[in-house]
Amino acid sequence: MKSIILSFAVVTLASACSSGGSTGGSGTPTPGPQGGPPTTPEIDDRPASRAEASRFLARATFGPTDEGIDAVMQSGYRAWIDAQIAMPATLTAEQIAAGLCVVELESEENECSEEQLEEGTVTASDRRARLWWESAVWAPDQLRQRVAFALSEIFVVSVNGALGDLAYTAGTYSDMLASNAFGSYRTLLEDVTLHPAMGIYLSMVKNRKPDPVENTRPDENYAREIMQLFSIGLVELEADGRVRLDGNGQPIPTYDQSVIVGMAHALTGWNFREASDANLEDWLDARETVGAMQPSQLFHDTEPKTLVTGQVVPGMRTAEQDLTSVLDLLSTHANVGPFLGKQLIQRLVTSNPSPEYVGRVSAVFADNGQGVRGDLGAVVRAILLDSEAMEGHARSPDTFGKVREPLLCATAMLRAFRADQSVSAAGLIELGESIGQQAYLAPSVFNFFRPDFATAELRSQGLVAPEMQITTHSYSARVANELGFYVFFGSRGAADDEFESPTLNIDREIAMAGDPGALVAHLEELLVGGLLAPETKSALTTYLGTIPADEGEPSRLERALEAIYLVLVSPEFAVQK
Amino acid sequence: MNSRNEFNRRRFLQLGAAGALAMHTSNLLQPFGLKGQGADGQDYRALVCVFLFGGADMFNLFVPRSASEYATYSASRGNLAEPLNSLLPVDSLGAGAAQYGFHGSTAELQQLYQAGDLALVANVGPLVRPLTKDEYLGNAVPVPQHLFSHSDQQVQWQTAHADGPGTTGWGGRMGDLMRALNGATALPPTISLGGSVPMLVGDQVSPYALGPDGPQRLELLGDEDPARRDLFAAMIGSRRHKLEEQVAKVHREAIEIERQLSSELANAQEFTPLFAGTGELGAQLNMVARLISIRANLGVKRQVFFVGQGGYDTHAGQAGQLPLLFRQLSQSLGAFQQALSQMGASQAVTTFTSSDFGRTLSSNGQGSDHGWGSHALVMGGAVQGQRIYGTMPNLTLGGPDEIGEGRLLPTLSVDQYAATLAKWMQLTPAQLGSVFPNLGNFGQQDLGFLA
Repeated sequence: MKSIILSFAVVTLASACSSGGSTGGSGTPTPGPQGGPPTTPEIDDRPASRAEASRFLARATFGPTDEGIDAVMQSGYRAWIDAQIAMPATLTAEQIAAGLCVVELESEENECSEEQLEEGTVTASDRRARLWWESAVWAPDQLRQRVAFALSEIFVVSVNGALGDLAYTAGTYSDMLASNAFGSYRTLLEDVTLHPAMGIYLSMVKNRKPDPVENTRPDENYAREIMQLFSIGLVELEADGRVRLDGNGQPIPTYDQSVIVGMAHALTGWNFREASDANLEDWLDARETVGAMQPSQLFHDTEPKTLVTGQVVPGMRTAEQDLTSVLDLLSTHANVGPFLGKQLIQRLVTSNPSPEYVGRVSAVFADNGQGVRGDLGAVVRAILLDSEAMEGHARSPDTFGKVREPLLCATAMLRAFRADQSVSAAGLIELGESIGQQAYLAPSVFNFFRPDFATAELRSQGLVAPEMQITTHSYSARVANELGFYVFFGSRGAADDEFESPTLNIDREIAMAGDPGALVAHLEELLVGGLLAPETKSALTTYLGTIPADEGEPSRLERALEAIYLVLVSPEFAVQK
Repeated sequence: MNSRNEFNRRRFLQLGAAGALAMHTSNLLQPFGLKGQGADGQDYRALVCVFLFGGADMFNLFVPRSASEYATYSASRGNLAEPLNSLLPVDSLGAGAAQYGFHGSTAELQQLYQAGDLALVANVGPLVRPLTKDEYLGNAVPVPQHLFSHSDQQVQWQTAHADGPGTTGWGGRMGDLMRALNGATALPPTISLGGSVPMLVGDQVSPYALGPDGPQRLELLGDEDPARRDLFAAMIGSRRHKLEEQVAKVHREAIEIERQLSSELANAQEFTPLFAGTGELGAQLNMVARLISIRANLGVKRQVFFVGQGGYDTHAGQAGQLPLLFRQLSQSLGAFQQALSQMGASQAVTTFTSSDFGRTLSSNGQGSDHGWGSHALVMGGAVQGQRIYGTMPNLTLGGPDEIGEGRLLPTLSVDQYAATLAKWMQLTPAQLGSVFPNLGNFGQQDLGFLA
């Protein structure tokens, strides 16, 4: 029977939150109320300036706002982080599901309301994408959402394949990352491993023991990538993230092919929830893509296996027992702290952290100060409160920071200029298409960019810039054009009547436009953390002064639009510091 | 979805395009003969790398049809085996006794092969030096690092220097040597339609990276508003901050190159009908064709292009996915070769495939896993086609070429494969030695598939 799935009315984020969002994952370690472990050098809790608070918020949120800067100025960094961590997670999957109804094309009966039928062209996958944008731009639990986005670029699933038709499943994966953002790494790794989205994406679902009749052997896909990408990486690391070398000066591989084969066997026997294992055909036919994957002992390999670190586990164990060994071995491996810690620093703060910075974060991963290993909330806190994060722009003025990826350029603009939450965020999906980056749409499990990507020039100087991998000639122009489109066509006052996306509110900037210097200083604080180059600042101020603004509102608007656009396309904005 | 926003976006872009139009007109006023002088399209050569991302299962693209070889293939591949009667038969010149056929969804490849414009290079992979199965199993000879890992083996295919630092690609190192031949254009000799790839990075050159829709103009920052343009030019001038400098440099290059390319492309030949229905890969090759069609106007003599097709990591769903990928590959390559013929460039352009690695012959039930040696395709008028180069591997599990789970030990190195292409680009023996530092480790340095 033919059927199509429709979705309907937009549930605004505000109403969803006020009706009570779910809270974070179970087993969340509770860090102390104030401060990190003693290994983190103390920084002043109060921002020295609004610009400093703005720089902090560029790392800890999807972009600073005037109100956000006010809040950090008032509460100080630690209390702000505490409040953010305590905030319930904004989740999306139930909103994806809530809009779905099924129309039976060859029948009079269907479960859709008139309203749903009218709204019928919105697909579930568009709802999922739109809800991601809504959370990024407007959700109050900004730190959690930003960390979840960072995790989505490490524990990658992409809707560019089989997951494309499973919007709810993909949404629950996103929710799972948000719920675990401040929880235990061991729990996160298990939830990632057993999530049906990952099961589909890296084909662990229906992975089964060797079958002599069919002449098959276990799938190695997840076994390989859980090690290479989600936990320990390819080579042994020092606690500060530097590559450990053997007596011949060579890196030491963390595993070889025999370990991958062993891990692949250990990870056999998992399938979607409620899969029947009455026979192979039924088992392979399972389709319930909601809920954690469940084991079937019938399809689990029960021979002894060599796992990572050379650990041999005996035969005749259950799928759960083997999985526990795999996850325990990986999550306690000495590489995880530096491997994951460095990547989180790169996602939030700077592409080229010093070994000391990585070492401090990795020490917090090993022990949050209360004897707990893998406390991600403590790790995030250590990353954000480290003196290198706070002072890097001054200590290493030529290298500190990271290139803003297109998505973060867009969210920074939308948040800074108070994008109108009452308008459907559907237009933001187009924005993502135009800038060439959409969450959960990486080309492969290797993300949009690799953590060690460098241009030839940077590599020769010992530097990396992961986001430069997608900063191609064409895309850098497209991103600039798209930001210009939003500013000039989407700002309230300038907006085209038919602009179908949340409009920008630039009233504050218009009000300041009488004084070009003040306007530039305001934008400098809000968008670039007070770090416009003096030449840029003076050239921009002079340029704005040539736009006549004394005849009142219309030309003030023009001056404000020009100022905003030009700061958004400046190299200073392109590199978050 | 949101067609009105799309309309507005187009209208917004058209505002900027008015300025671009004025610029084109001024270009037309330049005296004829200044541009492209001495570049009549003679002595032009280009390579086009088609990278099959994820590790393509080429063992199902080119399949034995002779009874004994097919039986071995079928036994090793299990439920991954293509049915004998689905294969598109081809007659290879000078081959041994075995007969082969292309995958059933690749009619264009069959035709190109039979017409002598396509050849197969058998069982290629990254190697430091040749090695036997016993040497491999005994860890007696150095092998590439992190075998069977996507990221590492992609780099090894693109650098053709399996134990090198992985910093420059063989196309980029070639570009360093060839760029002087291209005259004064700002366009680098290496051009990517597949993003930032190590293949095209040299010690001096880095690729121009554009999308299938062509060079993108920076709207609002062009000649239509000189004051704003000049302010932006100052903002993207040389920067002390090293990451800012990289971003600014991309803008500087993009502006200059887009200006030249858009002006030439505006009057370039159109091939779009040829590429109808060929998907993303076809769209990329369509843009490559258009860029090649303006070679004389640009005055360029040597170019290396890179395009990519993703989706080949078929651990699961191989039976459903692979035919679709192969169909798109076949249709895209067929259309591209036709476009080259139409512009009289079929002898001047050689297209070749690369991929992360071959795949396991054995099945994991739903697909195949990461392997090592794999087949590659070379296409073009200069290719000595309808032939198999190298030695077809023995597909027996546990046989002399297999090193576990159906992975094949390569018998030809990427270095040999790439050096054959580079030699055709007229690099001297000394230059080949510098571009391929390990080439001396391998006996046959010209595999002979290019005249």
